[in-house]
Amino acid sequence: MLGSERGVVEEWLSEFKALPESQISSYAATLHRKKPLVPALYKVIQDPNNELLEPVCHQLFELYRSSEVRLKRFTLQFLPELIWVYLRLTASRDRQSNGCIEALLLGIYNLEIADKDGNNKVLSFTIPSLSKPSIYHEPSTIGSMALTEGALSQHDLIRVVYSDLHPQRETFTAQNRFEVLSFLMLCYNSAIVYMPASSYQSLCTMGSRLCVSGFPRQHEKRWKEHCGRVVLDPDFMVQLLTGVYYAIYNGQWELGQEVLEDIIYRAQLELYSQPLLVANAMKNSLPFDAPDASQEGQKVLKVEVTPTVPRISRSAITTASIRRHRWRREGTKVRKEKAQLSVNVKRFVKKLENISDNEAQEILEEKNYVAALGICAQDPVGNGSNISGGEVYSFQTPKRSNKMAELASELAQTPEKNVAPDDSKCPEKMAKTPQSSQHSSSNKVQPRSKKKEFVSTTPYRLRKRLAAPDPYLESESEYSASCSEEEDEDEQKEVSAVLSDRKTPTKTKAASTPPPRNSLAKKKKEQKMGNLVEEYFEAHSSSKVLTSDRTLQKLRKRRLDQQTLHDLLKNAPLAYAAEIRDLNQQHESLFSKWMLQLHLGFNIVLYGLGSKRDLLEKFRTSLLQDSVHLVVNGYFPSITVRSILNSITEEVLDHIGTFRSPLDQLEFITKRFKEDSSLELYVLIHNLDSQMLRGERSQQILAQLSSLPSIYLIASIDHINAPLMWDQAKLSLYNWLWYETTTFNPYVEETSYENSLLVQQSGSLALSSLMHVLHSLTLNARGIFRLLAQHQLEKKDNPSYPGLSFQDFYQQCREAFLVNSDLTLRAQLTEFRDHKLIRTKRGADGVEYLLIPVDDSTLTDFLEKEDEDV
Amino acid sequence: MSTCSVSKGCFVFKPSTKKRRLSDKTAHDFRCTSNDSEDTELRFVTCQSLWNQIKSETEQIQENLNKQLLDNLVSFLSRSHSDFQEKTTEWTCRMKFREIPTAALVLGVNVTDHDLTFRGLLDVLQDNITPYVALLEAKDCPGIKNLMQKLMGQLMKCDIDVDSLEDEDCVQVSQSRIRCSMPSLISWYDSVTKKTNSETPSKKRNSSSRHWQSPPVVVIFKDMESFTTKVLQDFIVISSQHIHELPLVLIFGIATSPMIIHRLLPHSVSSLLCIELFQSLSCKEHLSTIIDKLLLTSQFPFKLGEKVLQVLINIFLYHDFSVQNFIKGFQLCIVEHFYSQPLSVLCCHLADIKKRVYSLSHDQCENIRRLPSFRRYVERQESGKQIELLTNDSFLKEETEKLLEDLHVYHENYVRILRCLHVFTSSLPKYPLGKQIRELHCACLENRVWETEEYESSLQLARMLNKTDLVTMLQQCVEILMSSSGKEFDRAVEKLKEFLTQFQNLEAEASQERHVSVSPQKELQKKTDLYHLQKTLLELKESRRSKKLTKFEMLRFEVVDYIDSLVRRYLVPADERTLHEIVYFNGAAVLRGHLNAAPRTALHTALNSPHWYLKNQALRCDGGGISNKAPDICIVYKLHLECGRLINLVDWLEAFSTVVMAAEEPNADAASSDQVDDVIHARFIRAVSELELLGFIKPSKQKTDHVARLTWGGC
Repeated sequence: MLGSERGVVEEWLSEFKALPESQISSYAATLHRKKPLVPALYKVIQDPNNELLEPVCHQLFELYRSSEVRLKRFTLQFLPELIWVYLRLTASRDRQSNGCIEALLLGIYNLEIADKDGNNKVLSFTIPSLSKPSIYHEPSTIGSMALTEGALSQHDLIRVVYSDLHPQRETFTAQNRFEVLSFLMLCYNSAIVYMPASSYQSLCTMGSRLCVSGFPRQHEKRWKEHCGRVVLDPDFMVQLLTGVYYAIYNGQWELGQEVLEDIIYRAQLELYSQPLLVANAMKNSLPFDAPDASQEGQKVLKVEVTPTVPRISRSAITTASIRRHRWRREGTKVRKEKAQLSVNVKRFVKKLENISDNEAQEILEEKNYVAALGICAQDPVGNGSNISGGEVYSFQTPKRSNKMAELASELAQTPEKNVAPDDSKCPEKMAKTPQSSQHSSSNKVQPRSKKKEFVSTTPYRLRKRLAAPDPYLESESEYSASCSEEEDEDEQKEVSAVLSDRKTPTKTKAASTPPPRNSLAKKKKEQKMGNLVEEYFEAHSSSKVLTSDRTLQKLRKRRLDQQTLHDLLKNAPLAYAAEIRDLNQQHESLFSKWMLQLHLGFNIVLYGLGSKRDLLEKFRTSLLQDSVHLVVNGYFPSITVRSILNSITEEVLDHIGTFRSPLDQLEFITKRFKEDSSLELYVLIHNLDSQMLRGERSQQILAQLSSLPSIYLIASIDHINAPLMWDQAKLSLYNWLWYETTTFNPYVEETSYENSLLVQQSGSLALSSLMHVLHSLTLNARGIFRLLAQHQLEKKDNPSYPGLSFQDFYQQCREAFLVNSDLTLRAQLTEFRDHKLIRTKRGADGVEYLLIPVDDSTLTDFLEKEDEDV
Repeated sequence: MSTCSVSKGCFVFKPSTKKRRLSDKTAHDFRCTSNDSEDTELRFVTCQSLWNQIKSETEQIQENLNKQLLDNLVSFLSRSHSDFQEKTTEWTCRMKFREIPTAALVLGVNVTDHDLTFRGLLDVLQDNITPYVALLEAKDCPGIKNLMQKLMGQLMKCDIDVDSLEDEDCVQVSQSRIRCSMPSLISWYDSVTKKTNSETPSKKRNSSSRHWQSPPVVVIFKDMESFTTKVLQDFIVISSQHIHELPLVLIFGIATSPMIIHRLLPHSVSSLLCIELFQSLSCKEHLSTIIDKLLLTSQFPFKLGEKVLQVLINIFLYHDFSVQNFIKGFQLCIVEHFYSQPLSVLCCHLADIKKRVYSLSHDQCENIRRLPSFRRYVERQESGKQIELLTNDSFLKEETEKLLEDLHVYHENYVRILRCLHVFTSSLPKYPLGKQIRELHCACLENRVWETEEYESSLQLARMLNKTDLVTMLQQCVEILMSSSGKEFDRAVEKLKEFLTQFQNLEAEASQERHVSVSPQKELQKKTDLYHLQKTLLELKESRRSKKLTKFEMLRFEVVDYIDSLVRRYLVPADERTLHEIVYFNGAAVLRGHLNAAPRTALHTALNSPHWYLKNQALRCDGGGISNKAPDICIVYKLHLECGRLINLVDWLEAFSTVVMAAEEPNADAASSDQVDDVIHARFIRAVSELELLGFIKPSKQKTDHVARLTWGGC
């Protein structure tokens, strides 16, 4: 940069600062006379390392902020250059030198989005309508019957908003960058008539550089400076085109055409339809020759030279007016849609009539359908699917909280019916049972008279009575309303009013033996449809959940961990082993039929209660030993479709290499299986409906896989809603044959991964993994972790404990001489985070909080163990 | 190797010794289970050949049905860009407006059948119009770039197929390097058409003569409704910019209604399209054709029983409208039949019956004797023949052959008469016997059709037909009966022809008689007093009641009675025929279980009444209740039904333990109760987590130690 230019800029910088308020307007008038200033400023802007850049940007912003319009325009003329430099630097990831330009652009944006009063601007224009008088017409004189004023007024002035409310921006992000820049271009375009020729030039070069740099076309260009590809946005390109359009007809004929070509090139590559449309329209409307630009100042494209201010409508728009406006627009829309809808309905009705004419017989004769579907009932080989829908899917009725206990006691009594009559001591024992359960729960056994009758609502109601003085219980949440007797009574009345045919055991009865109640299902059948509807709303009306407030913690029973649970269950004998074995043998006899049907192009899905894992394993070991097969444990918590596909490509097809997407991989597999007809693969999927596989995309891929003729799929499903995973398209790909295989086997494997509700979570496994990871770390790191753990344990009574804030933690660590800078602490924390030992989250105030995601007891154990080690 | 692991979920097993069981293994599976091994091979072969015949038949039908549609499409395509070839003024006119010729193909809701249609369409297009066809599916095109990539991939690949001389590697590389954009597509198109143009004179004459010099590029959107609107709009806008360089034709596959185009595309975009509508055959007509060609012929020896057919039709009508699924069900029927019925070896064409019958083993003969329909037959014979039939194998075989031939003849006659009856019933008001022939078929298979009310009422209605209808119906019947090869219906045809001539004679007579019959009415119009009027009216009424039927009416009764007699003779339900088990498949329950299963119901039954599955006396419980000895999960399920949206685990556990402890023989020793408790606790945990796996409950954060119920009214 030459010294003289530097001098000019420096002079300009100092000049304005010294300027008194009153002379600003005269200064603005003289500014454009300084010929060398503008090129010098361009030079400064183009060089990101220039030390003058920051003061220049600051100065430009000062000018823009001043009330003088001409000063504003002075700044605005550099906008294309600024945008180019900014985008280039962003693309090159050289963000540091970018700061002041970024700040300038953001500053202009934030100034422009609000009007003088500080309200947000909405830029819009209105389309004139016949209903409103204009200088050309008077609505009442249009005259004909059809065009009454009322009819016309429906076609109100249409306001087209072309730039909606913009929020204030503090920083540029990838999401908002082009929103801001397009708005800035909009501002530039609205003042483009006042721009000097140099600004047009810079606009054109900016456009073509943005569009071409990094693409092969750049080699044809004169400028050679290297630059990466700049991401562009279609809206921004349209704004750019608007500016270029003006520039083409105002002196930049050649440059303008070049940039137009470049924009088309880019839009074609990016497949942006909007810029393509605009640019092609511009290109097709270009005159053959350059417009005669000999007379300076006579613009070929006539633009109404009015000051910018009224062009951007500045009428103060309050939120209320916007709301009204929006509301009106939406109102008309809704009306229109309604009209359309009714037309559709009419058409639909017409169609329906047609259909019913043709095929009324078929569609309406549901009788036959039901008859045909009910065939099973006659089938001696019972698969239990001959139940009417109402029985299965009846609505849940509002239940009083003690209902379960009642049922339990009722069930507990039923042995009288079933057990051999010689069991005479039965009643006494039964009288005991509630007590024993009581014993375990509240541990306050009231000496009770040996009464023969059974207190039906026992555990819960009694406990309430007993524990009433307990202050802890009294302070329970509002939900404990259900415990109070009065409410219960009320509720019972309500229920009995609705379901009058239901025998509601009243309180008085409850003390004696429970009335012999029929089964639930039977009663439901008796109720009419109307009741069913009422039941539904009954069940949904109460927002409060009426359950008791007891928790497992108060139950003085230790939580079982996975291992003990497993051991306990192993020792407990499986009930009805013989019958279950019989059942399974029935299913096993179908194995060869399965094979046959698999080979004929069907796939097999097994459903029904009980784990089907053993069954499938048996099928596998007995029939598939000689063939290539793949077993997928769907219940495995981290199974993905990708891993299934990978094991096919890598292990079955011996393919080395990776794929871009599962679809590519699927295509590869399809190709290989089609080419090589000797390839055959049996796929067994346990739990096709598991959490990880039930997604739409996974199912689609699996369905496509299974539709290959030489892939044989046999899968099992357990979830009640599993069939909802599949739409018709997927079903036809799967080509299922359904087999009911109710096995009554316990789901041992399937539930072992589950974080079960009652099993003590993250027990020994978490502890051992903690120890393991910690032992491999340095002494300092262990100390850091200890600090955090201790702090967490101290705060364990505080339920809303957010975690230890980073700053406090750092302070503590420093005091303990564990770290010497926050960088080292962060490095350690990264290590912990990678091993999932800690979790960080940001609080509401933006502070980082650290937490160990392990429950307190494990943490205590851990600290004890640590103490032993040390 | 075990398939349990905590570190991975997929296990591949490859047999170390590559002893592959090859093609005969299917037959092997077939053999495995059936108790007698001798005929299985033959049965399997018969089954396969039968299925193959049926499959090719259905494909043929499909092709014929789509022919009309495809022809229309082809002519549209050839029309749409003929101008592009000739560079006429009309073309330039359209070019100015940038309209893309578009065919909207309304295919109906049976989306799963569309594949076949599109496959046919692709073949036809590639044979007749253009090698450049791309088939796009919505799931491959989430964005415009993916769409272009897919499109160019398909187009350029097909280019490789056309002239395989091209160095494949070069194309492969370039394809990945070219950025997908319209200009590169156009340049590709230019180069391709130029090449074929230069080649045509020399060697590729015959192959490329089918296509023109610059064939159009056809892009098929298979499922238009599921495309993102943005993608579609962008594609249309962009390609309309280049329509003058690239003769593009779009085909939209539409499942709902043509309205959807305007719903999806704004006017500014849809105005870029020049849409023509094509309608495919409705799936119900398709099904009728299939039934007509597969079931109502004597071409195939295999038949469906009434209930089976009903199940298949119901699945079609009430579930999917998919003809493919219907055929799949049919295939399943065939397999099931041949698999489960050992005598199905006799279910073959008439020509083979003799040979097969005589090669039957003794066991198979016993099987025949065990058939219920055969037993009934035996009971009807005199005692000497009964003994022969039950003891003498060769006599039995002779008899079987005869019976099977009878059965065959029965089928042929059945189909003819069924069609005749359908001619009559299909035009009656309100269609008492159904409009479609399949309904009539079902009715006839179900029971003796002449004993049903519907038949009665339809006969009554038939007795009121007018003459012209009756005559045309009779003529149709004659045609149907004439077309049969056998001599069975010679007499029937003669009789019907006689009726026809009688009707013609009637016409001649009627013209003579007309003036005679009008007299009583004439009298009424004369002036009379009240008494006379009353008298004449009474007389008139009297005479009408006892009036002799006109000749036409007599004749009409005769015709209807004759048809009735034919029906009674020939439309006997199949299960009254001897040996029908061999040919008819009746396992409707099996079929329904496999195709239209109800997993939720099964689950419900297992949980609610385990006795259904576990045949143990202790589980039996009357009144729909459940015994407290039921498996844990059933008890837990039953208890959970009593709860509302949220379930307290503690209450649940206690209720459970109460039930279980009552059920078990409680040990008198109270000290051990703690130990028992643990086991019960564990069992409870297992049952609850099983319920969670089954989707009945889920953990809830609303309250501590609560779970949420998910079925019906849960949160």
